[in-house]
Amino acid sequence: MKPPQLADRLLQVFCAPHRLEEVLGDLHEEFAYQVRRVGERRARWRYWWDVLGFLKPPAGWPFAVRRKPDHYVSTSILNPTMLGNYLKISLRNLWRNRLSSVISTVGLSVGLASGLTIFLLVNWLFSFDRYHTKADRTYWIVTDIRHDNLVPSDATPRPLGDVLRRDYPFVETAVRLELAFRKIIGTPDGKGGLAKKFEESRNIGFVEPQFFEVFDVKWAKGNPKTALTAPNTVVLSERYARKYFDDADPIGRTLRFDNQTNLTVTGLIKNPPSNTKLPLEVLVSYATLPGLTGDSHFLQQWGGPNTLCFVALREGASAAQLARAFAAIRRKYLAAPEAKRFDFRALPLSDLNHNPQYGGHAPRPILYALIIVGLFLVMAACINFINVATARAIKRSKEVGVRKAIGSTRGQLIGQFLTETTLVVLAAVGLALLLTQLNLPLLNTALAKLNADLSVLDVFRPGSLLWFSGLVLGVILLAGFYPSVVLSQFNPVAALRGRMTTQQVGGVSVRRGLVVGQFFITQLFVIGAIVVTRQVRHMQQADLGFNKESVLTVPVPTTNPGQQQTLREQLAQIPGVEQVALAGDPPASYRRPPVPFTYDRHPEPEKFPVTVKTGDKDYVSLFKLKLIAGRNFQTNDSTNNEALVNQAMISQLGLHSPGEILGKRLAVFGSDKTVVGVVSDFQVGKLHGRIPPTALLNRPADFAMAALKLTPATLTTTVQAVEDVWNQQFPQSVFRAAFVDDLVNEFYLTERILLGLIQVFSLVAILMGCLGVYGLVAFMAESKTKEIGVRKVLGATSAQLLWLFGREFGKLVLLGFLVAAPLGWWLMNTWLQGYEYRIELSWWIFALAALLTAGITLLTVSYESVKAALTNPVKSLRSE
Amino acid sequence: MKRAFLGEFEEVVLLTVAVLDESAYGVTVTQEIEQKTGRAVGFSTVHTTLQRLEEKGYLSSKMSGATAERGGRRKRFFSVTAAGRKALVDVKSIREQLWDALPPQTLQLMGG
Repeated sequence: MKPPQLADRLLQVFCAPHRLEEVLGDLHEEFAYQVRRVGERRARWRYWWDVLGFLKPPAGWPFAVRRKPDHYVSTSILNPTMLGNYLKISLRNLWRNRLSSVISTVGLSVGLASGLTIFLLVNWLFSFDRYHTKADRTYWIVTDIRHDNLVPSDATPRPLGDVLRRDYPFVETAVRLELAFRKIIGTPDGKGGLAKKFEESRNIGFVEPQFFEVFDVKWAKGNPKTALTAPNTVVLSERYARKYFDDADPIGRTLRFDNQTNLTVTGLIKNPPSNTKLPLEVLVSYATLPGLTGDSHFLQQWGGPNTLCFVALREGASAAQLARAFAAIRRKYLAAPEAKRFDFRALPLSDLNHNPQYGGHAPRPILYALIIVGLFLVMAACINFINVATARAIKRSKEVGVRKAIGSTRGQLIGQFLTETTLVVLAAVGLALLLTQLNLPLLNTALAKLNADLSVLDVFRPGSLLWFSGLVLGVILLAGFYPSVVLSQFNPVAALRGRMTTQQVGGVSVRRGLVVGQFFITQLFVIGAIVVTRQVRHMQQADLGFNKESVLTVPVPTTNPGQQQTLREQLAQIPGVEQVALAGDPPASYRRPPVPFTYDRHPEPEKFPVTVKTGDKDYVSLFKLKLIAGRNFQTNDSTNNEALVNQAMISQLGLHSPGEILGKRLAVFGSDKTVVGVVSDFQVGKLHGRIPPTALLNRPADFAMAALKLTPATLTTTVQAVEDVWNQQFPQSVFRAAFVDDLVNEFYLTERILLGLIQVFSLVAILMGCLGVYGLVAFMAESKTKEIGVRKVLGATSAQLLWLFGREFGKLVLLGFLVAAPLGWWLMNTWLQGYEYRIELSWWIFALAALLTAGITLLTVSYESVKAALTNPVKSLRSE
Repeated sequence: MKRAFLGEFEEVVLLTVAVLDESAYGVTVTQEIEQKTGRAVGFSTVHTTLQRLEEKGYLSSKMSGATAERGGRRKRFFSVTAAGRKALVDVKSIREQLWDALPPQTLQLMGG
């Protein structure tokens, strides 16, 4: 006959501890008496009633039975004396277990450093253009052009920005800007020549004065309102002013722009930060543009999307208002065909860096994936720490027993162990910050294209401090909480009698689960590393359909056909140059937007656009394109309007054989061409997508480079000779030579960075896995000493003893693999879908990953287990 | 002289402890009060009162040895201190003074 247990629990919570025993005793005695007197049911009722009476606060007191401190109450865990004691004991403990403390700290810091590097990178990539005051109400206008498929463009027709600014009051201000590529900026030497000349790309642009209203730009000298109102004015960043004029005051000085016009410097701005997609350092006034083209109506043409446009709305205005304005503008200003095809959209300014179809470098899904990778690495490090700490717990069971017997509460024990964890974590964080700082230069170099300037100090900025302290706190709790809970729950009697076994030290299943988790993470990374390595190699070795070996390209800074031919003849005479072709760009290059065209006698343009490459007669033979029907251009004379097309064009047009297209008309760029030949497909851009329908035209007006086939043996001397000849021909321009295979390799920049990252991270994951496994096996060996001794005495061989360990870890590796393989397959398959040229995910990749992990684990396990297996049983059994 | 203040229920409890002499603890005190006064008293009320009287110095307590019943839990035995006895005597003498001061005819009316 027992009184209600729930009531007892309740009493335990509310009753003053020093009174609990007698109160409970009295209640139980009374209960037994009442059961005899009135029966069990009523006794239970009474019992509840009595207990509730104890919960009822007496007058003036918030709690039942007054809590009065007595002599046995424990000191608060936050008492300064106790805190000092925790610290002292922690330091002593860490020092006593130097080796495992160092292993824990290093393992944790390596994992943290990898996580930190990733988080810093993601943080930086997410910070792009968010620092502007009006960032949240600034929109970026893009144009989607509807062909058969949608062709996105990051620009707008030139007048759009002006119309928005003038006609729509909810628009506070708007700015139009055009980035310029490969422009020669020179400082005049006063005698008609140039004292210094530089070729500028990307950080030079034509901007309206409103630029400084929409975006936050820090000024050093000059007036932001008036500096860029007049034509032929320019504002420089401090860095560029120094580059052009050294330390002299740049204001009022003259720069020569692309050998066309002179610009007067009217302002000086501070260098732009690294986290902007518009890092303009040479800002030419937008009003200069019409003068350069010689067309006064230039800015009124609605023809095509040419100019970037950013709009800052008034406070309270919404993007929906912009969308309505776009519809009205389309009806009012655009001619019928364009009105149907052009679709304006307003994207938030913060999207600037995240939309790959509009030139963003960091698509959001990739960033989220990176965050997950980072969390995985940090988690792997924590698991490691937990494993080592819980394994060590058995050694400390006596300490816990004594502490409990003396009167430690569980809270105090947890406090003690958390202090130790905190010390280790803080040391690891310090070390991780150091490691990260050492790593960042590597990352910054890899991301030089994005002007990355990551520094570990970014962590201490207000915005980052939040996630950083969250991370540290999370790691402390994650790494420290479980071990301290396990340690503090030991039964003091069992602990003091030395009866603690592996089974009792925290659920073995939990620790097994953690190790499986670690094997899972390791194998996932290994699978990823193998697949990415193979894919990158596959792409680099893929047949591009053209020859890229020892082909040098140099710019052709003129559109005059006569000058072009002169350059060709002079280059062809250089010894070591086997062949010269003039062209727009190499067969594979950053893709220019495809253009609409009309085939044969069709009344309407085709539903799909064509990618246009330009080159002369020698282009086909120099790049070894394969002619499969018809013939090459006959002469370098462009007046006979010949065109070549690729196989993709044949199939997209629905023709049965390449021969059918020969002699047919192809109208593109407003002129009629005759198709004279068909070449087999070659890569025109990245190896991501399908090869699009392509036409090769002979258009000297588009020629921007000369391709030179060089004799491989004399490369360097030939390149020097080419430079000399070129500089004589074009003293006003800047020589720039690049080999086609280097250009092609640049396509894989993203993949190569990804490859580097995943290789480093798999190494880190493997390293941490090894540390964790080592910690665990050392512990297992120790706790199994007696078992092994007994087994040896009974006649077990060393091999059989090793199997004891091998079996355990083999099982865990296998379990980890069973989770990692399907997930890895799915992830990698999804990633590979983005590539037209991709490897097959064959079974051996997964087998290799499993074998690799198993092998590394075996190596880690073997030392400790062999040591344990070889120990003389007399030794292990003697000590008690 | 500072006179002790005793509430009515406190007086009852203190007296009961004195009556029970050596064997006064929560259960016996409660049962004794219930039997003698015929009124149902809450367990918790008795306990808090005992505790309060001890704080006032009228009772002292000590724990017994482990018991075989009630799950081996110990009992807290109470005994009346000198101050407690004095308080009881004080209260009694005040009552008697008041009774004595009662006019005889009123006493008769009350059936005394």
